[in-house]
Amino acid sequence: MKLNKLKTKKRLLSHYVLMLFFTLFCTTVTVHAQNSEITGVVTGVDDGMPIPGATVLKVGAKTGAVTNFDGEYSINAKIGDVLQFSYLGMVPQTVIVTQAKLNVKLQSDLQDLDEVVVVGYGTVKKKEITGAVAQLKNDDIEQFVTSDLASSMQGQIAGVSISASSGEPGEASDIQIRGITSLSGSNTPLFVVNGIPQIGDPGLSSNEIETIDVLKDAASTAVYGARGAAGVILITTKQGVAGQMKVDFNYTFGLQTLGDGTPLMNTRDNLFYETNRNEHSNVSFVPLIERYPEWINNDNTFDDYVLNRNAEVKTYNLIVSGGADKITYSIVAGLFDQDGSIINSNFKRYNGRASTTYTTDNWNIEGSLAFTLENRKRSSEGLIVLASRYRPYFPLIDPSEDQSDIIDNGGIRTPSVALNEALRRQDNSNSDRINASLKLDRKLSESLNFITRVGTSISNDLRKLFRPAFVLYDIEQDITEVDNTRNGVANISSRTTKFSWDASLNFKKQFGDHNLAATGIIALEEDSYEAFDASIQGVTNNNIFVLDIGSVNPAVNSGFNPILPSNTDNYNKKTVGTLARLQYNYKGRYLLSGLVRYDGSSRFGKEYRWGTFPSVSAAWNISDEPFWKPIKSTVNNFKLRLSHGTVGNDSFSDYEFASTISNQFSNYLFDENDAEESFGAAILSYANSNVKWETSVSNNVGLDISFLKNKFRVTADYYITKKRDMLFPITLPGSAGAIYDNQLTLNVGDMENKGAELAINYRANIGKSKLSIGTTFTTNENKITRIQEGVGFIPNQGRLVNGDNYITALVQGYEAGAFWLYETNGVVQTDEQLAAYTALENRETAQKGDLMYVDTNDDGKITDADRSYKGSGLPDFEYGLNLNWNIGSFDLSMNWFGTVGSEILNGNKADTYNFERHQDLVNMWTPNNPTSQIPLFRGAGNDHPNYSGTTDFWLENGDYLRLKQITLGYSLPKDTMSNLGVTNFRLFLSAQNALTFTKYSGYDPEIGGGNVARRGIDSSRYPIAALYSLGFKIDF
Amino acid sequence: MKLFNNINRYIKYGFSILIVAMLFVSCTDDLDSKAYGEPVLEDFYKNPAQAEQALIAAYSSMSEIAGSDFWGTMGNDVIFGEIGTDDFIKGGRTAENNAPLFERDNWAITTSNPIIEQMWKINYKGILFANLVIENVPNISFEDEVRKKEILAEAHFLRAFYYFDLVNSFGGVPIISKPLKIGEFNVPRATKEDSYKLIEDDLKIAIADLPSRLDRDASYTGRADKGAALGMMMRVSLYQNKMGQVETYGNQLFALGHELTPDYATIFQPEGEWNIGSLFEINFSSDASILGTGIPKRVNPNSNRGGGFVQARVDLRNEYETNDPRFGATLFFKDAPYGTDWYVRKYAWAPYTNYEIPTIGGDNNSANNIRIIRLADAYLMYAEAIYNTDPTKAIEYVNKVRTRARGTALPTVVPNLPDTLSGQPLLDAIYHERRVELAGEGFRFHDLVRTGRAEALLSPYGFVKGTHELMPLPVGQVTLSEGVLVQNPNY
Repeated sequence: MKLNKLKTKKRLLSHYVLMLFFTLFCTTVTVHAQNSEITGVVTGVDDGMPIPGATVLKVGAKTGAVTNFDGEYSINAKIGDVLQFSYLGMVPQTVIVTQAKLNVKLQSDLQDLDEVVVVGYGTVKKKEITGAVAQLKNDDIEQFVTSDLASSMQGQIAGVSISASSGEPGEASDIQIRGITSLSGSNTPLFVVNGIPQIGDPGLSSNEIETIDVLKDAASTAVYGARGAAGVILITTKQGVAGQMKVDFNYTFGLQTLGDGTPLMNTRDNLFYETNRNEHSNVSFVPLIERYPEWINNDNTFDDYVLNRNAEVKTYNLIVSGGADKITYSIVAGLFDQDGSIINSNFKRYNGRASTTYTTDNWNIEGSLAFTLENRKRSSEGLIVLASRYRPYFPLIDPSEDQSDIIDNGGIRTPSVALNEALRRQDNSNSDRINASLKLDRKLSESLNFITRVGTSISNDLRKLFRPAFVLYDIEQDITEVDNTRNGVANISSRTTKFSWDASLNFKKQFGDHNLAATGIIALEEDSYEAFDASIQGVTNNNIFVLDIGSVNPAVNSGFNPILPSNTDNYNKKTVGTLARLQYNYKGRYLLSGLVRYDGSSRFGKEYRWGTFPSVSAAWNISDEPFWKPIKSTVNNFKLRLSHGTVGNDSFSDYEFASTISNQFSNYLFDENDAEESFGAAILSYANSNVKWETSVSNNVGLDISFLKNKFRVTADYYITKKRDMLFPITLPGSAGAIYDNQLTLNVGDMENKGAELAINYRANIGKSKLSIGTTFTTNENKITRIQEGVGFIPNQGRLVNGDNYITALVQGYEAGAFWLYETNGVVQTDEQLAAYTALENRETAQKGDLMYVDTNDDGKITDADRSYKGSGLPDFEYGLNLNWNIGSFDLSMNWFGTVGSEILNGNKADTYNFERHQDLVNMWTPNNPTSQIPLFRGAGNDHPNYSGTTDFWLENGDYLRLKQITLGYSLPKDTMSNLGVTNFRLFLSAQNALTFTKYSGYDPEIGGGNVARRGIDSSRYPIAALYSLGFKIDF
Repeated sequence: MKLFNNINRYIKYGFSILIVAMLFVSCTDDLDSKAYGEPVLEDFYKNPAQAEQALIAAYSSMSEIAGSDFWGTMGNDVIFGEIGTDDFIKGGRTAENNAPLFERDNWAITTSNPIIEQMWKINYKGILFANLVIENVPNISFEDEVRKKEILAEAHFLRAFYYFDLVNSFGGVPIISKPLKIGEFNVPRATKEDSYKLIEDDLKIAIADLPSRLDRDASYTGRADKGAALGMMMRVSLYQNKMGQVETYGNQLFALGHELTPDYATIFQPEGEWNIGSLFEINFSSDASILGTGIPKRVNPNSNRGGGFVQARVDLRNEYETNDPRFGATLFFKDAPYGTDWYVRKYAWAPYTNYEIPTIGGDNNSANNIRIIRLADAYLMYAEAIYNTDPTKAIEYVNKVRTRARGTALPTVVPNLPDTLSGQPLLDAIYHERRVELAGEGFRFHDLVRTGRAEALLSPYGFVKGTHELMPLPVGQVTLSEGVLVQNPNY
């Protein structure tokens, strides 16, 4: 039976491939000579303006046409034929041909309620939605020049919080749908492209995308089961439209500029500061300049070393689409090429996608094949910080030299080596991805369809790291040295594959006023990742980046290697889901939808693999009720939505149930001659074979209101999500011995997310201009309601600001990743203050000029117990304002985005204080400057509490409002263009991130951070640049 | 015809439903996903080679606490243990440089000191790895049953070694003698006596089953052997004031054939590694494998690329008898911006010893082996144990140490103790001998505490009796235990 099926599949596949070829090569539409030519103009009802690009189709035939720039069309048809006119945003119209000239007026589709929204394993009309779902169209995102899809969605969908963790080219933003979902696992929502679930962000180019639908509440995401626990983003790629072939091409060119970062002292200020410090602090190093007076002429600025001014961004996009009666096609190709605003960084992406659809009465086949080639160069991590540590009077660095000048005694060695090396480090990676999907929809009867989808994505990645060899020349002792373990080459090769298959039976029938739809689905997914790496040290040539140039410590490794950046364990994960869904409505007025999903995940131990998760949602189109009639003309639409859903979550590390054996941190040396090491092996972590599904229960209530002829549309939602048996990373006691992985995932703890979302859209025609304004407002309140019996506090170890062990923590009653810091109260300035401060235990040796820690628990001591809640990187609310205005040949679009209520720990400031480089230090407290609030330098942060990274001294208000994007476009007059066979030619100027209103003193207040523990900590990040670009778009 | 259509349709439905059902059944069995690319616990501890690997891992904590772990190494008795005694001050670049060490320097140790946290964790990591050996190796079949016994005995030695460090620092600690399961992690502290009992029991197994390295070829060097276990047992007994036991195990140790190496000055030189008088060392090398120690980096002067920590007080310098060659072999002077300017030579680099500054793997990759137990220490422990019962023999053993110290110098230099010495003067002479012979090796503080002299000698520096004999338990661990771990008094 299986074989049979395979054969069938194969035959279908070859059929499909043939179709594809046919589509690609035979794109001209056949003209039927026996018919006469019907011509006419398509215009809009509201403004009477011609509509270019509207599709005209002869129903039941292969003939189609597209209107030209003047809205004119001509099509071969005879009287009595039925023509269908359609255009995006307009209500389609079907007209019977009665004469040779046929002018048609299309009505704007202000209703939008017949628009189709993708909800996972199917679509529903907007009016029939029962959950919390939002949609973006290509128009909403295409103005952005970015490789990161999420960044162009920021502020456009209420409830979806997006923030960039880095401005490095090719980096993806963090996306959180309705708050924090997982404390240890990923918070990235599930991406589904053309019905096929993906691993992480599939990295699509915005030119491939037709619509983005976001499922927010559990009742909606429940169709994807555990995979959708963090929300679902459904992407539908561009499909062709039957009619004449269309070719669109666009090009943009842009330049990036960075704002101001941390202000640093120049040579003069630095020397002034050092003299001050030596005099008034007990730290006194002989200034190097006494030994090297000629250095006084040096005045390095770190910008010279690391910043790439006016870095370029170029994009090219080509879209070819069209189709005939049963077949449509779309081909998209693009190149995105961005230089980073820090040296050695670049991101280049080539993408292509071919999609076709084939439709007959009984069959609907959709296929899409896409490739993406990415070449990425990353600059050294923390380059800005490393460069800012380098004093302005230190010897000049020539990045083309393989030698670096040092002095062993005087604090120059470390920054010099670090900076020199970082300047020349290479980190290049290639990622080649193929993404294919195929959907077969077979009509079995009028009310029954069988649908199956097969999808795969394969990503092959090769990352090459190079650390240059450096000769250190000690200018005092005239010694050179090379440390061969400080350089090296590493290559990491990995392959990520995803296979998914689903099959469903879909029943849909109308019984009088009762509409019933039932769906049974089985979905299977398998994700795997495999990697190996090779590395070697002892580089003999700095210009060749291959493994063969190494000389010592060759090593190979499979899977995870802690030495190398961002790699993970090999894994193989399988999930199986079976789902039954029932949708019912009465007259489209009362809607009810229920589903049950039975999920299995290989992430769990044998006993706990399966979970059942039901959800239900309902909606009431109140404005359809007879009693609404009187006010219907004002409030056109009023709908109430309610949903209650339960989903499982398996978002934590793979193989948590199994203890793995590792040979890291376990070697020893027995050899008498110190020559040969012995390799040990032991478990590094404990396993919890009882780890089971985390469950989250979510309730949603929503309202959709439209009034004043649908000019205003308001969508409001309120939700509460409660997590039970939360997969919580519990820190094991030190006595358990698992020092390198002391966290164990246990099903303990509860967490709550609640929030409100509001989206208001206004759309109107003012005179001859079309205006649309959208605003979004998002709040989310995250709270850990329980951690573990008796445990109320877990520090997030490992994020070091000035060498301190933790900054944020998970604390019961507060949001996850809250800042947990010492409160400070300025600098000790008076004798009274000093007396009071030194009376505290652990502060007996305090002096004037010290930062005053507050004894928050009044126990007379300054201890860890005085640390307290100091806000977090999570904002209280976010808002967005999006505007589009078309006035004649001009178009203007703007996107504003802002957040309120987040805090930022300015780690760069802390670091530059710590390394005695920040401009503020010129104004440091000294007896001669007794009113200064800049604490005296009394040693680095881990030596003296003054500059410790764990105080609120570094905390700043993270509120900001940003003009994310503004674009002004101009379309050339049609008569000039139509002679050249061009339908549309548009020139545009745009600026991204050009204006930011904030009080934050660092580079940029948008701090994603990547995970819960790091959110809000601005430390050695790659800052986000502003981008000014111009471009054109040409359509044939 | 209609009927036929219907049948046709039913077949179609049935067919698709069947496929779906079949696939469902076939894939539900398929959810097993093996840990991928890495061996898992269930597949390990199956053969002798894996037993050896597991044992090597149990040794690795030693090289962390004396070499590779930043705070762990700071916490070594050679650094943290010496600071704040009447022998040494913290030193460093400035008075306050390195806050965790500074806390020890002025006896204001906080419960959040990262050094004590790492001492706790690394020792317990070693204990876990030793426990994994002790738990699993008995089930592995060996052709070489002798080696199997040795592997277990080495693991027992290592476990005792790690527990001893914990008990010395914290008093009674949670006793974990096998790998824990979920739900068993929160273990309360045992009494000091019970902790010591575990250590002694482990060492008894080690003494019984380990060979002496002197009976093996050079390839055995580096492993814990009978001499190491006996030396350790003497120290464990001494710290509990079990003097009879010190004598018993001392007699066993001295029968093995170890002797004092003739030149004191070579002990801490490269050629002195594993000399005939060395009972146990932690091995380090300075090569690309990065298995070196970071202790020399901490104790070398700033001018010699070191941290400048652990500088000798005048009190220690005055303790040396005139012309005692050990003074120069132990300390040296180097002018520096802060401190007493007297540094410990024992773990210094060239030009102060023949160990080179590492040229590979960074400054924390030194080749200096860390000497854990020396025969001279055992002689002095033995002498201290019997000074009352057999003063003549005690003097004999002290004189062995003094004779070696004198080396080729005239007999008036570090002269032999008079045979007539006994009672308190003899004991004082032994105390003096320990202080100068072992200076900078991390024993002074423990010696003062166990002999009840700490209050008298250390209170000028901030030491408080009843508090500072023990370090506080790391606050993180106390918090995590939710009251199960009881903090040491006065912290």
